[in-house]
Amino acid sequence: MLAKYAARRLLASIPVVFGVTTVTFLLMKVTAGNYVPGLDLDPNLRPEDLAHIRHQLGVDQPLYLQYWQWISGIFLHGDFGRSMLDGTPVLSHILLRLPATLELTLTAILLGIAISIPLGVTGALRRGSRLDHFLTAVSVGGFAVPQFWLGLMMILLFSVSFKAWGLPWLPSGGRESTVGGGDPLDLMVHLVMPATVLAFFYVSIWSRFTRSSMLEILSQDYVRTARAKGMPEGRVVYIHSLRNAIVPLVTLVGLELPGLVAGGLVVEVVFGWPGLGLMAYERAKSFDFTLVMGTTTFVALLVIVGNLLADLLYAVLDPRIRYS
Amino acid sequence: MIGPTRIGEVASPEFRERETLQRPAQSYWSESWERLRANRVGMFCGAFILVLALIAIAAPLIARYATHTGYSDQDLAGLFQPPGRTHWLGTDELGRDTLTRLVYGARVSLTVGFLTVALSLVVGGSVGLASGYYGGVIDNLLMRLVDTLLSIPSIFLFILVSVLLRPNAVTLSFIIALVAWGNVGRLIRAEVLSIRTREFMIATRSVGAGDVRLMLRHLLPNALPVMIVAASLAVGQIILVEAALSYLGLGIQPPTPSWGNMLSNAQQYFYHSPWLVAFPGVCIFVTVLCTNMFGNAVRDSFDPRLR
Repeated sequence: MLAKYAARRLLASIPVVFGVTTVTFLLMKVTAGNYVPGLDLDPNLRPEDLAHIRHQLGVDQPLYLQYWQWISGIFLHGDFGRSMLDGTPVLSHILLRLPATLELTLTAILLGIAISIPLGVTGALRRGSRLDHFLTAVSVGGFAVPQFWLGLMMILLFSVSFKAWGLPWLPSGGRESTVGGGDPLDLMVHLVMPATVLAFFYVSIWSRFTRSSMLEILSQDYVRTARAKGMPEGRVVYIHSLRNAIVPLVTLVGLELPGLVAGGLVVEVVFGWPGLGLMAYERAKSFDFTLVMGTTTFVALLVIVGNLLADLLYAVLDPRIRYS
Repeated sequence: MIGPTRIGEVASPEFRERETLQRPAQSYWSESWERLRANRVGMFCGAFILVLALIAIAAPLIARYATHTGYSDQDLAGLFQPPGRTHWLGTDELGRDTLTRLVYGARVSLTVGFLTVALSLVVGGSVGLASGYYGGVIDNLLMRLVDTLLSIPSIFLFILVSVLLRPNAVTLSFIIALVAWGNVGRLIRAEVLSIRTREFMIATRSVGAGDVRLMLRHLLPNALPVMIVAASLAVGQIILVEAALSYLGLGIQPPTPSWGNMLSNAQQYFYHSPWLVAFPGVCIFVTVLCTNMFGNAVRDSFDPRLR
């Protein structure tokens, strides 16, 4: 049954993969056309040279041919095209930057889960208390604060002011110190602020979600039965209720898997974190279309896989789900 | 009679009299509105947004009569002035008045916030209606399109599109709406699916109403509450997206001020002029907070699923 469901979900994602590549490709062509950065500015190139270079890059071919070459490259050879600026394979750029992004976002997601579940449970158990109201306020605020602004304010406080006050301060950006950096402590110190900013956003959503999901479960009959039978409260809450309450959270976290690679873009820019987002952003600004297109497709494919995994995980965790 | 009436007990005359005092018939809209009006925090936030909108509309008047300077008027003798008497919220690196620029920035944020939501309601609403009503192949095609749009990380899409477009507030709204309609479409389709099978729909069809009439006169009004709720919750998020894009230099272009591009400007100088970073951020935060709280209040009073 599950295998059949998995197969059907897999089949359903094929048109989406096709759609993603088509949309990205068309958008790129509509905005960029056959423009090659810097080419028209070189006075040494004669018109026939220009035509020759365009021909070599393949931008003078009919659209469907360009599209075919591009997607066949991706799916047959794992070739996401070449950078328009330096001619190096896009995939090598992606793989170079991916570890930094994963380091940042995985830390943030784990931190988010670790903080939001206890907060959500506390809010649900002490519903209506002052603490609950306070947690609600923080979460509503966290949802409204711009990430980049939070990042800037943290830099202002923990890097600039702390240094001025002679306190131990945090580095304002980057993944490691340029001189003598790279040891675990140095890496961690650089990770603290960007990961906190990202995690704060996750906590503000997930803690609310855990709270309401927990409240729903706590009002169910089987919880009342468990209590009536004299089961210790800790066991009722943490074993019997929490296990069911976090099932929907799995989907929510699964939906953040795209955020694993893309969600941190703004944070990466603020903190100069050398990840995929910062790369795409910088390359887009210098009109490296093929690289941005390749990265976008790569990330979108990861998203599709992530959604698929989240769905399957959900089906495994919650036997009540119907495979339809 | 004291105490609750037990089952099977004959109701007292007093109780029988109360039974005839029925709740006055009230339409869904007036009931929802009354519920919303009773929500103090929600109404306060709604009023705040209204005032902010008025300020944004009156931006040229404020620039002329209150701050006495335009949004791009430079005062090169008075750079980086801290908040004070002549410039209430200080000046930036070109001596431009921060308050004036913030007031103009409100125009951008509110325009983009509301226009984007309106656009995505129109597109998402049509797609959701058609998809849910017709089902079958049309539904499949449209929903795969939505899946596609939602699979591409939106920030990458925005980067792709806005690099070459150099957008203003209106084009930026269209760019964001290009992605934002997907969620609305999904939501409305789900609602239509549940309305479609109700008896009144079958009855209307049986007296000969056509597809278009069924969709526009019967499905749409019933899906409206869900649309209102979705819209009121989306505005704040869209304002955040606009701010982030402008901060990245992909949104509103200088010299037109927006809260986002004011921040990206200010971050170079925040070592000595931290207020340049603080004020636009506070503006974004408070505006988004208020639209979210108002959105929550609207949801609590309009959402039929919460009753």
